[in-house]
Amino acid sequence: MKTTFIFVLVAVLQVNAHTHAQPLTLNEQNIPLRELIEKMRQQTGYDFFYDAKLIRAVSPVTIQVQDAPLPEVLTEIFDGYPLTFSIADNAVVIKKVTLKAGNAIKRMQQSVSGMVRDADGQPLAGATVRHKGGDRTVITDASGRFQFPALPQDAVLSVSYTGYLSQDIAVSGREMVDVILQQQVISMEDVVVVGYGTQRKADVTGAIASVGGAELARAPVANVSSSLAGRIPGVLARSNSGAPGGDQATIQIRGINTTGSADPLVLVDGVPMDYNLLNVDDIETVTVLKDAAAVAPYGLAGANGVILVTTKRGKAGNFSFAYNGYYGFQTPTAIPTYLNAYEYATTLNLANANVGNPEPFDAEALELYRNGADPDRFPDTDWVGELIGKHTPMTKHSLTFSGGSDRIRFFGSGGYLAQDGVAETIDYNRYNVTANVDADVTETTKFLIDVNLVAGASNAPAGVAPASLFSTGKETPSIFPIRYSNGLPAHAVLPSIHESGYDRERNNVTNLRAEIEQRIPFAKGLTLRGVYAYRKVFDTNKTWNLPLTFYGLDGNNDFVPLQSGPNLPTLNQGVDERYAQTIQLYATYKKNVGRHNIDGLVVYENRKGTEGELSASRINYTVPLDEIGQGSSDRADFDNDGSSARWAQEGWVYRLNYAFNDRYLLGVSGRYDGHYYFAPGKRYAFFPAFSAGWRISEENFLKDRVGWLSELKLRASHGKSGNLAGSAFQYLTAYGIKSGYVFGGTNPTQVQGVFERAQANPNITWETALKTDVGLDALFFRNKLSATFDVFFERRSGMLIPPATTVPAEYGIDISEVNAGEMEGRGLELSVDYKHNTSSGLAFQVGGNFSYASNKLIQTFETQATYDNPNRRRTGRPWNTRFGLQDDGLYQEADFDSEGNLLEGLPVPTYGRVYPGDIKYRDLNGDGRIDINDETAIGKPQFPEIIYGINMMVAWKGFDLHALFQGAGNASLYLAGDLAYPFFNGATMAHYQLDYWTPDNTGAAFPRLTPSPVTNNEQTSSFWIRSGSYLRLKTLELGYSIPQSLLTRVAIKQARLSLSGQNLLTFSSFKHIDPEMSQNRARYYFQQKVYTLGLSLNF
Amino acid sequence: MKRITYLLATVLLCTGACSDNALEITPTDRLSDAIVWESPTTAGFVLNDIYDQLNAGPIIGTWLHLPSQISNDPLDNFTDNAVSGPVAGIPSRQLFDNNSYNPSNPIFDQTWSKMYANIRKCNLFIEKVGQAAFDEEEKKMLLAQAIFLRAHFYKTLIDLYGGVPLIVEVLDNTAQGDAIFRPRNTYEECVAFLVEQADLAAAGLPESWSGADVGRATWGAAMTLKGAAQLYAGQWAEAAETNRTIIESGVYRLFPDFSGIFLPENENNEEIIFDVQYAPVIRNIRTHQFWGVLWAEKGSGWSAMSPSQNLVDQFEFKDGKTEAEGSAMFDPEKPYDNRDERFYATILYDGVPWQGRTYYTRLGIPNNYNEFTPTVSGNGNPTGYGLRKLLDPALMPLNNNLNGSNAVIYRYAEVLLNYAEAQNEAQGPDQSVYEAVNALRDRGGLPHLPQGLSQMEMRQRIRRERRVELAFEGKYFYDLLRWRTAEQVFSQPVKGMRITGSGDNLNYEKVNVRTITFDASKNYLMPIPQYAIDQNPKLEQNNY
Repeated sequence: MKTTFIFVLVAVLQVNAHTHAQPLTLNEQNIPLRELIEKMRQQTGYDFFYDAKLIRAVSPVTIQVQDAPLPEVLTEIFDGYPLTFSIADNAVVIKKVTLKAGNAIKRMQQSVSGMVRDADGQPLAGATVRHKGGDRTVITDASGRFQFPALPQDAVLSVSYTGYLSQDIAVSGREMVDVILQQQVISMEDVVVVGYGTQRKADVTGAIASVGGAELARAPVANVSSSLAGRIPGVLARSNSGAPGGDQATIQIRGINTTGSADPLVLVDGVPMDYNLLNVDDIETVTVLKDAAAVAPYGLAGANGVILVTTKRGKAGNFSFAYNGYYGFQTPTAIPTYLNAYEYATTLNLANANVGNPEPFDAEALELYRNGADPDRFPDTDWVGELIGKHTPMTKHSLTFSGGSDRIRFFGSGGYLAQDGVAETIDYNRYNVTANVDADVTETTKFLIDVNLVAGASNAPAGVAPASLFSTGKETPSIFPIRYSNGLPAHAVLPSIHESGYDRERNNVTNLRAEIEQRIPFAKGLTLRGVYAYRKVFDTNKTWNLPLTFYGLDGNNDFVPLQSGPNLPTLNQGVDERYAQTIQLYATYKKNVGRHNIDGLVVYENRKGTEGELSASRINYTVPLDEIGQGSSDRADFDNDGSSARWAQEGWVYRLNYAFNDRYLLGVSGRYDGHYYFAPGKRYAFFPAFSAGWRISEENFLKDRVGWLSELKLRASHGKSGNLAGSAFQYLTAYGIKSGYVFGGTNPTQVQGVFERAQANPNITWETALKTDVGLDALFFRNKLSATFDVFFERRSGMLIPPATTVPAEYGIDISEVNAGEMEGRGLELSVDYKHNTSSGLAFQVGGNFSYASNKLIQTFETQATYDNPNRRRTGRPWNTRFGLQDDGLYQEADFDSEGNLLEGLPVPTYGRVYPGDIKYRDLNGDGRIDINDETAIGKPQFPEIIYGINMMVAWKGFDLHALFQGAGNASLYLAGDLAYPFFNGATMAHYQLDYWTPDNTGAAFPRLTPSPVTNNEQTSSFWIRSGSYLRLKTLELGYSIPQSLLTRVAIKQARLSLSGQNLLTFSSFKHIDPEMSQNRARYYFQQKVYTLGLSLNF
Repeated sequence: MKRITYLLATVLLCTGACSDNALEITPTDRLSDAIVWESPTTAGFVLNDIYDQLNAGPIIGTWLHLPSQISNDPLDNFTDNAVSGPVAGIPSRQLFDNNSYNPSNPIFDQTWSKMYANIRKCNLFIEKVGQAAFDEEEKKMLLAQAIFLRAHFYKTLIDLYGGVPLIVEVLDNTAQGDAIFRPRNTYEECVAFLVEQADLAAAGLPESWSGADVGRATWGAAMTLKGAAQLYAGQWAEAAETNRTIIESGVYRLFPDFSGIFLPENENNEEIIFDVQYAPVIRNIRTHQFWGVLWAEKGSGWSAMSPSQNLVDQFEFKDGKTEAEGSAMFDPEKPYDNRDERFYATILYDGVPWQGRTYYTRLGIPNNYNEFTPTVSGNGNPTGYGLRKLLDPALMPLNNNLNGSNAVIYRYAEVLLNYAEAQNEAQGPDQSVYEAVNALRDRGGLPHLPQGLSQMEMRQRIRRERRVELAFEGKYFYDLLRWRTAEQVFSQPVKGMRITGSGDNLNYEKVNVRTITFDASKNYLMPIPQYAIDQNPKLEQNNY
């Protein structure tokens, strides 16, 4: 190896090897040895032969000599270093000193101190300075200073700081070592993750954004997707639930541009996988591909954007072992408050009086509800408080280790997450184990092997779904008892939580990945790579459902036991297995010829899988053994079910990037893709994309002339991508089979049924997206300020839409969807990031991103009735526009005559008789009637059109504070059910609903009070729309790094305590419920606010 | 190294070249046309699926609010026979009472599309089996069942909407083009169609089935359908003739115990002509959960069909007179004594022993969830009465999910009543009319009808008999429409019973609990749902 190296050097340098050595005159400050050698070479004419590695270890040299002989100069320079030299035949050979036994150089120990600064000269507090090969690590103080009491003179220090390039520096006998670190994050030399590979950031022509795993790990959430909100421009992450392990977010990239599935493709290390199950501490980066150039390599799966998750891998030399964990508590973000028993009874009396009904509660009952003297018969139950636990624990622990040599690198981790639900029988646990190894098996061959295991466990009671604790809690009137004063349960919900048996789900995922990479020695720049990934998902569920007892009070005031649940225990058990395999074969080529730079790849990819499920159940258990084999032997008590399926997909990917003179960039990418969903002959399609970039800042008129501008790049892309919609085999006419009718009277037997499936569409295929993007990337003030701006436009066509309206309702069968929908999407994104460190040791960073994305249906099927009415027309409006009546406030007494009849001339609603205080609607078609023909588009979309995030970081003297605000705009909530109407279907009433119409409260927020909703007021209308805009403090973290002086004795390199929180503050206009509520009636598991105390240790 | 390179290159080329079949996958969950129509067995599976559409039952989320006999808002709630306990989203309380139903807010929202989906299944079956090379006898039996079922689905539509498009072939938009859009046939054409189809079916169907085939359509079912269609259409003589044929066939008899007709252990008894088959566990329905009374606490039934005072007043006392007719056996202090036996089998009233306890609706009993509460919103009893008929006491009042009682569509009692009504209208009250009605009165422990009734008087007695005998079986709603009496009936308030006092000193007070608004100018037919009108320009709306 070394011989080769020297040989090459000789070849390069021997041209100049013809003069004789002369005395040297040098006057240099802090010059790298390599440059000094060059100067010496020029002055002496001698050739210098050395191993570049040896020279690099020598710190910059300050030298002042006048006419000094070469050997003398060299001796002085190498003093303190294990280097020696020999001079022969006009050549200097620099070598390492060979240590011989008994002749070792005695190394002197000395105190070394220094300062770590950034390129602007600002000190960096909290930087890590490690003695390489030794065991000591110190952290710089607030003024960037560090000190080692004793170090060998030849010690090498490794200095690192988040966001900066690490640097190794030799002490070289100095007592003061100053280090300048270069900022890393926004360097144009960095490599970014792109489809099927990586690219130099400077060469990127697509719209790509990413976030580091460390940032995501700040959010105490169970699912990674839920931590993406507000972090990346163009990415909407909406967490729909707060259930343990169930906080995964709906992700949309650049809005919704399809009537079909708008989910992006998610790949972990290039293979489709549920990234929500990952341990966040294993994640290196999450990269989002947004425009056609970036997503084209994913063909029919790319149109909704692509999320690439890259996991951590070992790095040579840096052995590290760390613990990261937190413990905290969760509480629902918002719960409406409800009337107590006395308020409820008096208000329900009022409601009945309003409609002329007798009052259900007499004075005696009211008094008993008020004074609580008879809690068993006149209780006042706080249902929310009883059923929805607050401050429930959540904890996470993970251990990671990584390191390696030049040839073999490894990374491993183990993680544990536990999240409790609102009741003690509800929880979620997850275990993660990851290990990966990178081995350079030969000079040109690399072998990688990854193992990733996930085991998740969800537990819930069998008798009640966790989400229904929220609906029961918020809907049951407080006049109903939950338990009696003697402790007996008065409602089935309590024993359902605690004694109804269990509903267990176990989720086991195994991911294996092997990769071999071969550089081709005789074709420089060409690399071949093969990847095989295997994934097995094995899910099991088991539900053991027990009979329950609760109690009623009968007419004699005796407690009567009552049964709920099944008559006898039942057991349901199922397994669900899914196998997937991915094969990728790559050929990549990189070549620099003069000012031409080429980077390209071709990939063949094949994915296929099988899945199957099997379930069994028995009922009428007489023994308390919860095993399928221990149940009733009566065949009538048995049941089972099962199914299986196969799938396959394959594609050929290409990407070629060409850069000229580092300024002019061109890219082509695409995929020829095939999928089993479609009919033979319709299975393959081609998705190409083109892009170009211009690094304006590299042009002569800007480069080095405008000091504040470090980088300015204009990008544009245009291309086609696809989206798989619908379901498999819609091209086939076929019959389905199901369990059907029961014949046989008192000896019933169930027979099989066969039914005609939806009418086939043999031409069915994927939808295609034509995407255009123009963007600008800029860096200012030596990379301290960065900005990215994009505008984009998309035309989605061939969307699968049901043509039901093209056949009469009498047709009698669904006809398969056809590729006829068209939609247009457009929007813009802006992100800005600023970092600064002051000389006082204060470091701060502030960034923000803003995205706007809207869509419009260009073509869809609709009936003549809606199409012909401009108010009702679906075409030309955003997808999922809400239609309803336009309210005109509430009817007032002046709208009625003395008989209580609606005044002549006012439009007549067709939803029953109206009274003052009912909702008044606008007669948009002017026919004097209020009916469906008066409907129009109401409100904003349910998914926000505007999303933004603001993140901040401040660090000072060991403290660091990270805050992420996230918000959304141009969105609406719609109130329905008990959120809108008091006493809805037996539900109670919320305090905010007390603002109802009365003759004295004519400007009320709610209609007149009635004991049950009035049909007129239940019509879908703008009256029930509320703003869905919000701003929330999504994630906040305050950290404190314990001073080094306290840690040295316990062998800990670094320790940091942190307090963090999720969803801590929310600003929204309808503040009674979470603005991200996933359902109009809010019958779901509410989002949680989380507070945690965390600890991280580096050993 | 070179070897690895070549290996990779070979694999790359090979997989690329060999991938033509990579995407060829056969689905594992469907059958091809050829297999389905190959044998009578597999074709029979299609017929099984058609039976399965008779009434899917009120499974939460699909048919929940769809009125039918088997529902949480059954058809009798759309009459003065009963009131639904729950309010929100219940069409009988919200749309029907306010008269706020219209094409965009129909009560029978899915009936139109569901029935035509069922009709398509029948059309497909009849077409395919008609072409199949099966054994002729077997083929005839299969076809007759499908023809009967198709007629049954059409009758459901015709009873609600009047004339509807009669589609007897499989629609195909690619082959037929605009011919898939059909206008409505007249009501007369539809009745003629039902009669013709019922005859066709009757000719191919057996009188009864045995063993694992019990529950399939029979000759009697087709004949009863035919007789009912004729009766509904006012074809009195024809209706009388058809029903007489059934009576004279001797195939059916009244089941001796009225309260036992609907119990699972007596399924398909001698009185049953056609019923929807259910079985607990295999195919449970949730009627008991909906219809059952609230017991002494929350947590059992919904009281979704609470009998009204109006119905209670129709039950005669043992002397053959009602309270209004001045029955001597009516005791205002004990109004429930000495009634028609069918009263006790149909209605739960205050003070009746039920499931080992006493059922109370009177006011003033603590913790009584069944307390009379006319303005009930979720709990309480809206009329002062609970439903007794159709429910299996073994399942009441709790654990009512696993109910497997069949839902009766036609039973012999209806044939007798159909005959009596038709014959009285066609010929007047002859002896055969008396015989038919008295057979039912015998079972109720009532004296025979007085001789010498005029045709008008007999009509009134038959209508009362019919209402009492068939209460909560989904017939009375259609009766009110075809008799054109809805406008008078609904002009009177629906009443409940408010009972105060204690011990033996009880006060009974009939109070109004419900008002129904009915517009005779349009409400005798239901509006065709707007989606059907929108999708077929040839459909003419009823008067809405």
